[in-house]
Parts: sequence; C-alpha cells; structure tokens
Amino acid sequence: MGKQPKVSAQHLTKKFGDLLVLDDVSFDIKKGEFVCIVGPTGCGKTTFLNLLVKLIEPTSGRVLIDGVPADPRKHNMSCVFQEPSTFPWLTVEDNIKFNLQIKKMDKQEIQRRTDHILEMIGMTEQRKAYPGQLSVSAEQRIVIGRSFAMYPDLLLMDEPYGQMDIKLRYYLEDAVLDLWRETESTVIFITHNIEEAVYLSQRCLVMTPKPTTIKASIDNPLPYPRNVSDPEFIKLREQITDMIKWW
Amino acid sequence: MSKIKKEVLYYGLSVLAVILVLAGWWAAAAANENLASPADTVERFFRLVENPIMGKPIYVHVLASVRRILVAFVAASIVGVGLGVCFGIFPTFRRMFWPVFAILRPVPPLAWIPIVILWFGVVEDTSKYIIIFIGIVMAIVINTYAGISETDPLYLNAGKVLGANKWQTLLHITLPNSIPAIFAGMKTGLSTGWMSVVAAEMIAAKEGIGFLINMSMKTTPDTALDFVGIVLVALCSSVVSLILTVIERKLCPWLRLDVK
Repeated sequence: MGKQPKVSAQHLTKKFGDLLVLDDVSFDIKKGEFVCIVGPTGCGKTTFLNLLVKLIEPTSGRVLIDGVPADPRKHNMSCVFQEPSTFPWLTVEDNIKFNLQIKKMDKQEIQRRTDHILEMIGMTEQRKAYPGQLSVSAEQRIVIGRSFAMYPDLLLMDEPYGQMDIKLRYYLEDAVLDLWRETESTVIFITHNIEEAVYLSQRCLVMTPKPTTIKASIDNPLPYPRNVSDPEFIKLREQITDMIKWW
Repeated sequence: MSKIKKEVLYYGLSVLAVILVLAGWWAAAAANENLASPADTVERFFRLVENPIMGKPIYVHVLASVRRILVAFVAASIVGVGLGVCFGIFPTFRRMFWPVFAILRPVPPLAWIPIVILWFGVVEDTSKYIIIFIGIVMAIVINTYAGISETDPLYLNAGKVLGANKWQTLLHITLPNSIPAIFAGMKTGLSTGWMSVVAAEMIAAKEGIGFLINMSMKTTPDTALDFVGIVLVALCSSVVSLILTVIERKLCPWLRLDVK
C-alpha cells in the first residue's frame, strides 16, 4: 500500500462530440507530491481537472484515488476553480467553515481551523464581510483558505491566481506552499505560467495541445524556498518553456 | 451630489408624486359630482368609524381581510416553495406535473370562485382562503423553481467537489441562493392575493374590505366608501409588503445595497 499512487490516471480519453480533447492520458502522482500541469491555453487542462473531480465522466479510461475510483464525497479532496466560487450568502468566516460543517466536524475544531486559516490568508479582520464586498482576488483567497481548511489529502487548483496582481500572486504562492507543507496534502496545480510551475512544484507534467497527451514529466529538484533569479531556476524554466514553444 | 442630498431629493420626488396624484384626484372629483374627493373620503372614513356597517367596527373589516390574506399567504408559501423545489430538483416530478401546472397557471384566480363557492359554501371562510391561496401560490411556485433551476453551476460544482450530498447541496447552496427569487415570488403573489381577497369578499362575505367596497355599490353609489376601501387595501398591502421586505433584508444581508 505504501507505494500506491495517490492519483492514478489510466488511459483517460475525453471526447466532446467529434472533438477529441484528451487522448489516452496516463500518469501517477505520489502521496504528498506537489505536481504542476502546464500546457498552452485551451489544451484541455480544465477538462482534465473536471474529470478528476468527477464533474464530467471520461469517454474511456479512469481516475483512481488511493486505488479506488475518484469521488469527492468519498475522498477528502478539494478544488479551487479559475473563477472564485465563494458563496455570496455566507460571510468570509462561514465560507471557510462551509465544508467543515458539511463534514460535521467538532465545533471547537471548526473554529480553531477557521481562525488559523483566516490568519494564513490574511483575512482575520474581514471575517464578517460578505464576498460581494471584496475584490475578486480576495474572494479567491477565501476559496483557497476554504479548500485548505479541511486539510485535504488531495487539492486540485485550476489557475487560481489568474485574476490577481503579481504581488498578491507571490504572496499566495508562498501561502499555498506553507499550507501544503503543514497539511501534507497532495497538490495538483494547473497553470500556463511556467515560472509559477517551477516555483511551486516538485514535478511538472507538460501537456500537448489538443488532442492532449502528456508530453513530458519533468522533476524539479530545486530546494525550497526557491529564487526566481537563481540560474538553475531559470534553466529549468527555459527548458519547460522551450518544450512548449516547440509546438 | 452627496449621498444625503440624493436621499433627500428622492424622498422629495416621492412626496411630489403623491401630491400630484391627490391633485389629479381632486381635479377629477371637481369635474364629476358623482366622484368623491380626498376630503369626502376622509369624511366618509370617520363616518364609518362612528356608524359601523353591519354592526361591525371598521377594524373588524380590516382585520378580517388581513387575516384571510395572511392565512392564505402562509399556506401558499409552504405549498409554493415545496412545489417549486420539487420542480427544481426532481426531473421526473417536473416532467410529470409541469404540463398540468402550465395549463392551470394562466387561469385567473377569480375564475375559480363559482366552483369553490359551490363546493365550500358562501358563508364559510374556507372558500375565500382557497381563492386567495390560488392567487398567491402560482407566483411563488414559478419564482422558487426559477431560483432553484438557475443556481450558478459554479456554486453547484463547488459544493460537489467539497463533498456535499444532494440534500446538503439543496439546504446549503440551492435554497439560500434562491431566497431572493422566492421573496420576489411572495411579493408578486401578495399583489394577486389582495386582488383575490377583495374579489372574494365582494362576492361572498359579511365582513372585510371587499365587503365594504361591495356595499358602496348598493342602492345609491357611495364612491367615498369605495375610495375608503381602496385606500385601506393600499395601506394594508403596503404594510404587509414592508414587513416582507424587512424579513427579506434580515434573511439576505448580502443583498443590501449599503453592504458595499
């Protein structure tokens, strides 16, 4: 059981009508690993994520989590979409608590975790605010906090920083790394930003344009915390960028 | 322009609109001797207080109408929200019963009056409750169904990946998201409800505002009494709508404009 992958995609194929989006995609992700999936815009990264969280069904193939078919209700997993998916009728605090209450956790533990997460995402003072009062990037911080609040075994993030300014993005990239280390989650992070992928991940899966396959799996041995101006960092970033430029 | 100045301006415009309506009413009454003026209406109101119709003080008539509409409204809200939710979340239920609902929906509630009176009698309040209920329930069903079925897929997907089951999704996502639509249905339903209560009381009642309006047509036309009835309906419906708005604001604080 020790060597069983956390996530195993096996011959995943997805067609929308005649359009082949994913073409026989297979790979494994180890428990506790931080993997970035990179590829050109529109290559099917989001489709792949939707298959992982069972929002859509594959045409063929399957996704296993801990050796059994993926199911958000059975696995302790969470997801951050591109668009902030905060619930507008709940305060910041209640948004963070949402899935903890769904899982019927102990009230004291819910409060403890919520306080901790609010502090980590820097929103303690806005805990009673509603998402409609906040900026889009603040909403996305709530969603990230909500996802980590349940200490998920598996966290899927789909270009979560797309709508944020660069300073906040750097801050939240570090926050996600801190939360990942603290919760020991397995993280699958989808992005088209190569620098972000190299900064965050232990491994990058490079996708081809449609029909999408996995072009390469590139290990990232650089130690944390990473420096974007480190020559090794730049070399790895250029290596991945060149692979994408090839197409 | 500052926010306070804007508020003052808007209130001023509202007062001006009321004055214009009253002036128009006065002018129309001056041109037609059979039409009661606002002053005649106020005078008739006080005469009504001193000389009750059918031996019942005016508040008894008002309370009778308010009671009827509130009882029917509560029943219609429970049934309407229930049916709207069922239409929204059970596809089989919707496919089975929506055609029946769609056929009955355009039928005016007043068209049911003869059948309901025949069935439940003239004197019994049950017939009035049923007519008012029919008037209110349709709008609540439609709006609840719209609120449920138009829930943003982003919220539903978020709930799904966070592990919410079908009932948790309904209770914690779909229903809270639909509250504004449900209240819109309740407000629309109340308007139809007041129309139904007046009509039902005009046809078969011994008390109520509709009964007062009906009395204005007996023997010699008493348009002042008619206007008293109209003003009472307007005031009562405004108060009930205001209470509903206060409840909505309490339940939906995120919708308040001053939140931002």
